[in-house]
Amino acid sequence: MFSKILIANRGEIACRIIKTCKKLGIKSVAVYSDADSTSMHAKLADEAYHLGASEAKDSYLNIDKLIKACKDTGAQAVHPGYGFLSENAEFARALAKANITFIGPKPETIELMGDKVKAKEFAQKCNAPLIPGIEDETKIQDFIKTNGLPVLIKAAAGGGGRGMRKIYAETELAEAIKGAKREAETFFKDGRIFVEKLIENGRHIEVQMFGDTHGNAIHLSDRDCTAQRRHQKVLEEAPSFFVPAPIRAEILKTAVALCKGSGYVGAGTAEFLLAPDGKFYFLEVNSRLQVEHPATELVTGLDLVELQIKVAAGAKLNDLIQKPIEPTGFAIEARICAESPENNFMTSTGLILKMNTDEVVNAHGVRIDAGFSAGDSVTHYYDSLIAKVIAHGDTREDAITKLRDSLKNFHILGIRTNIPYLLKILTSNEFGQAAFHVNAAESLIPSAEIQLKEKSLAATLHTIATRLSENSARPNIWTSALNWRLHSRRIRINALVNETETSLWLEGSNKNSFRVLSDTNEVLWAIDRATLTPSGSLSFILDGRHHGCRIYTEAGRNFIATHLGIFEVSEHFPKLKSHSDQATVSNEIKAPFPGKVVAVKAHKGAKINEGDSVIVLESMKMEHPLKAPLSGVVEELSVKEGDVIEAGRLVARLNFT
Amino acid sequence: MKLGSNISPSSEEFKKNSSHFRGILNEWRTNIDAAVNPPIDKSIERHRERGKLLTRDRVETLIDPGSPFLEIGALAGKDLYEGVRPGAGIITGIGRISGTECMIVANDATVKGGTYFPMTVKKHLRAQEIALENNLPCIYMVDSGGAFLPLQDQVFPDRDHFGRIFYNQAQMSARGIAQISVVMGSCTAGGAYVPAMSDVSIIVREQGTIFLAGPPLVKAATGEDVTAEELGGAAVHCQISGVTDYMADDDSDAIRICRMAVKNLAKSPQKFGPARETPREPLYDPAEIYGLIPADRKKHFPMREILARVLDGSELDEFKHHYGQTVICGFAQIEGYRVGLIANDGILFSESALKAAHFIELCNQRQVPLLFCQNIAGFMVGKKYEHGGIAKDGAKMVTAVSCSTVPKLTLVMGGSFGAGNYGMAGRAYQPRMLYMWPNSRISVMGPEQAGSVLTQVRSESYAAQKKSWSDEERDKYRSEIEASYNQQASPYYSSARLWDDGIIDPAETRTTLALSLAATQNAAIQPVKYGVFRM
Repeated sequence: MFSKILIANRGEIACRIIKTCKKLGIKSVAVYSDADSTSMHAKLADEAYHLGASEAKDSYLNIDKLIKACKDTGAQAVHPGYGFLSENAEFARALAKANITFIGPKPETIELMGDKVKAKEFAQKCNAPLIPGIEDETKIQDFIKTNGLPVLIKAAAGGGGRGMRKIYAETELAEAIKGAKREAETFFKDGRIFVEKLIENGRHIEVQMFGDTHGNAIHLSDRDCTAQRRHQKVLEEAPSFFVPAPIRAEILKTAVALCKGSGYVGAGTAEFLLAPDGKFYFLEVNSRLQVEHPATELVTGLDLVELQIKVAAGAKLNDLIQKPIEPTGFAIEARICAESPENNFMTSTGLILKMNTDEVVNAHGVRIDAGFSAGDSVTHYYDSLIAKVIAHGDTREDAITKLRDSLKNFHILGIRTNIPYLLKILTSNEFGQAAFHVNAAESLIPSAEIQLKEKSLAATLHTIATRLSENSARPNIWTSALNWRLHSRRIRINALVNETETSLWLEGSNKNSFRVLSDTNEVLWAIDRATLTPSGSLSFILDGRHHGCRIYTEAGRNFIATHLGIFEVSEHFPKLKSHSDQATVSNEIKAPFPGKVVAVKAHKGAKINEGDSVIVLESMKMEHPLKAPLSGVVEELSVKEGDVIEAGRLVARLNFT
Repeated sequence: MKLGSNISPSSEEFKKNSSHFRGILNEWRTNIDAAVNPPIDKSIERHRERGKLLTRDRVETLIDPGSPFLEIGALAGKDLYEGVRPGAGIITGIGRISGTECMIVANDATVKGGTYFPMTVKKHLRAQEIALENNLPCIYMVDSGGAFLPLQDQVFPDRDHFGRIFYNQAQMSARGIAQISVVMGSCTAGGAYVPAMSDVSIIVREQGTIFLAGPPLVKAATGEDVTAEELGGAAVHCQISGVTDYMADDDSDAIRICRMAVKNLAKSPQKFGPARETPREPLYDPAEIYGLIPADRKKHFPMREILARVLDGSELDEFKHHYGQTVICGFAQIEGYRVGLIANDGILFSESALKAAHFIELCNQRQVPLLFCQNIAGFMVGKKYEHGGIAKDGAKMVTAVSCSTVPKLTLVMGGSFGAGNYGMAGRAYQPRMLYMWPNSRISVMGPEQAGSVLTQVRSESYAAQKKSWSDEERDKYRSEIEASYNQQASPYYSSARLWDDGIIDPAETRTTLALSLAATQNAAIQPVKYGVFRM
C-alpha cells in the first residue's frame, strides 16, 4: 500500500480524494497554482506543493513539474482526478518511468479509449453497438446521403462536448468542420475529426466499470445522465430509472465486456446513448473517475477512490467486493457551477462571500463535495464546477425532493450559480418522464421574459423583507406600514436585480398582501401573508403555495435567497433618458471577459456585416465569437491571434455604415 | 379596560351614515387626487422633456423603497391662487431615507415655476417647524424661481415670510439638525440661500443653477453677458465657487448622492418617550367609523364607539371615568405607541377642564405623548357656570396644554368651536401635528349661533341708530352669515390655509397617528414648567 499520494488536480475532486486518503491513513500531497494558493484543496492536504503560474499549462497540465513534485515530496502514487491529465497517456508513461504509480488505467488503455476512432473499432470487436459514423473527411457527403441528416461533428481526441457541432443543413457543414478542427487542435493538439449520425431524443446511460491488475472486470451498476446542457451533464442519477430491465442488463453486460476486453485497470465509465426506440449505442469509455461517481457511491455504499487506490496498489477486486453489487435506493447529483444561467451560462468569477455547505448537509442529510468555501475566489483559469450536491433516497422521488430542498437552501453569495436552472429542471414535469432526453433540459432554460418576471418578484421580496427586518431589529411603524401613502398603497420600485434594471408597481400591504404589476399594469405576482418569521426569513404564499426567502448583506452587497434561487439586489437610480451621456450602440467592441484571441476574422479596413464575428475569444476553454453589433467598416483592430487580453480591452473599433 | 360596541352595522342609521360618509370620502379623494395625480399639462411635459423627474417621483425615489410617506399640507393653497393646484407648488412630508426619518421639502417647478406664493412660504416654514420640533434632518429638493413677485408684499417682508426659511436653516443647523439641499433646477435670488445655508449641497449638472441674480438682471445691472450655466451652473459651484459639494449627473444620481449623504449623517437611532409595545388591531373594524359619524350634525357623536375603532385592542385605561364625564381621559396605545388620550364627549364643564388639566400633568410627569380627539362645541355658558369659575377652570386646562412639553397630536374628528379649540390643543397650542377628518368643522362658533349673534348685534346697532330692517332683510343677513361661516368651517378651507397638517381618511387614522408619534420620538422631551394656575 502507498504511504503518500499526490493529487494532480484541484477543486472538489482533489478535496474528495484527500478525504479518502485521510480515511486510509495515507498522506496526501496537494499541488496548486498561483491562483489556488489559498484554495481549499491546498489547505486540506497534509502537504501542499506549489506548481507554478495560474495558467493550467504551467501548473496542473505540466507533466515535468508534477513529476518533480512527486520526487520532492516522496509521493509514491498520483491520483489524477478528472480533467487535466487524467486521461493523458503521456503523463501515465512519464510517471511509470519515474517509478510512480498512476492511479488509473494503463497508458495503452488511455490511448485506446481516448481516440474516438480506435475506441469504436475496439468496441465493435467487443460487440458493442455503434452509431454509424465516418472519419474520412472526404466521404462525409456520401455518408450524409446514406444515413441522412442530422449529423454530429466531433473531435477524434475530444471529450465532454468540446468541439462538438450539430449539423441540420448541408450548408453549415464547411464552416462547422473548420471550427471543429480548430477547437480540436487547440484543446487536444489533434485536429482529426469524425462525423456520425445524430441520434436525437435519446437518454444518456452510463455504466461504472472497474477492473483490476489481475484481469478481473465488474460493473458497479449504471447511471442516467440525461439532463445535459450543451453536452455538459448537469444532473446525474444512479441507478438508471427509465431503462427497461432487459435493455439495462444488455448495457451492463456490454460494459463489462469492454472493461474485460481492454484489460481495464481501475475506475472507468462506458457511456451509451439509449434511443427512444430502445436501441442503445456505445458512445465512449471515459478512462477516469467521473464527476458523477458519488451517485454510484451512495447507492452502492462503496468508496470508489478507495477502490481505485487499492486496485492500483495491486489488490484483487473480488477481495474488495465480496458479492455482486445491487444498488440500494436512489441517488441524484447536481453539479453546482459558477455560471450565470441568465447570461448564457457565462462563467461567473469572483469572491464567494458566503456558502452554507455545512448547514445544508446538516439540515437535509445530503452529501456535498465542495472545492470552495466562503472566502475563496472563482477565477477564469479553470472549470466552473464549485461543488456537487448528492441526495440519496429510498425512491427516485425521495431523492429528487431532497435534492430540490437542499438546492433551495444552498446559499452561495458573491458569484452566480446554475442553481436556479437546476431547480427549474428538478421542478419541471418533463424531468419526471420517460420521454426526457439529452436535449430536453436545454428547453427548460427560462425565457428572458420569465427571467424578468422572476426578477420583479426578487425585487419585491427584497423590499418587503428589508423593511420588515429593519422593523424586527427596531420595531417602528416607519418600517412596518409598507407602501403607506395618504390615500393609496401603490408605489414604484426600481432595483437592479442581478445587474438587470427592474421596475415594477407594488400595491397594497393591508393584511400583508401585495400585488406586483408591470408597467402595463399586468399583474405579475400576488403575494399573500408576507410575514417575517422569528428566524428572520420572510414567509409568504404565492400561487397558493407557502415559500420562504431570506435576505443577506455580505460585504455591502444585498442578496435575496428565494425558492427560485439567489438574486443580488441593489438600489437603482434609472438614468434619465435625455441626459447627454446616454449611450447608443457603441462602435467599440471590447472583450466582455478575459481570454485568449484564437482567431481574427476581420482586418483593418474590411467591410463587415451585422452579426459577423470580428474575433474569436477563448475563455474557460470555450470559444466565444465577438460580433459586430451593426454593419460597417473595421476602423481599428487592436488585437492579434494569440493575444491574451483582459476584460474591457478594446478589440476593434467600427465605422458603422 | 375594553371599550365595547353596541352598534349594528346593519341598522338603518348606520347604513345612512355610511352612505353619507362615502360621499364625503369621495370628495376628499377627488381633492387629494388633484394634488397627488395632477393631469399632465404642458409644463409637466416640458419638465419631463428636460430629463427631470417630477417632484413626486423625486420624493418617491428619495425615500427607502416600500417605506411610508407622511405628506404634510397636501391641500395647501387649494382654490387660493389662479393656476396653482392644491399643494401650493411644494411637496412636504416626512419620509425615511437610509433608515432615518427626514423632513422632505420639494419644490414643484411645474406649478408657476416653483415660485413661492404665500401658502408656499407658510408650508415650507411649517415643514421646518415640524423638523425643528421633532429633530428631523431636512432635505430641500430645490427647483424654484423664488418669491412670486406679484404677491411680494405677502411673501417677502414679514417675520414668517421668505427670509424665515434661512433663519430656520441656521437655527436648525446650530442644533445639529442636518440641512441638505439638492439643487435640481433654479435657485434664484433668495432661493440661492437654500443650498448656501445647507450643511451639504448637491447640484445636478446642466439642470441646477444658483445665483443671486439671473443673467437678465446681471445684464441690466452691469452690462455683463453671461449664460445661466456660466453664471451659476453645477460646474461653477462645484469647481469654482464651492457653493455646492456634489455634482450629480441627473435627478436620479442626485437622489442617490442624497441618500448617501443622509446615511453619512450617522444619526443615532435613539428614540425618546415610551418604548413601542406590540401593536394590536382594534376589536372593531376602523372602517365602521364611516357609519358612526352622524350624517345629521345635531345627532349624538358616539366618541367611545369611535375610540373603540382607533385604539389598540379597543383598550383604554380610563382616568376618572365617573368625574367630568364630558371629557374622556386615559392611557391607550395606537399601533403600539403609548398615548395619553383626551377626547370630547360633550360640552366642557369646570370638572371636565380640571380633569383634563390633571391628566395633562400626569402625562408630562410620565413623558407620555398626548392625543387630543376633538369634537367640541365649546365650554358651558350661563350664569351658574360663570359664577362657578368656568373661565378659570378652562384657563387651567389651557395653561396645562400650553406648557406641556410632551408631544401633542390633535385630531379634529367632528366640530372644533370656540374656546374648546384652545383647551383641546388647537393650532395655536402647537401640537406637533394637527389632522382633520373630512367631515369635521372648525370656526369660532357654529354657523347658526354666528347667524343669531351677528343678527342680534346688528339689530341692536340699528335700534341705537333708530334704523329698522324688515324681517326679510334680517333673514337674508342671517343666512348670508350662516353661509359664510359654513364655507369657512370646511376642513378644505382650513387645509388650504394650513390651519392643519392634513385631512385624513378616518380608516387610516391609526397609521397616520402612529407615524406621527414615531416621528416625534426623534426629539428628546424637555422638562416641563407651568405658569400660574388660577385657583
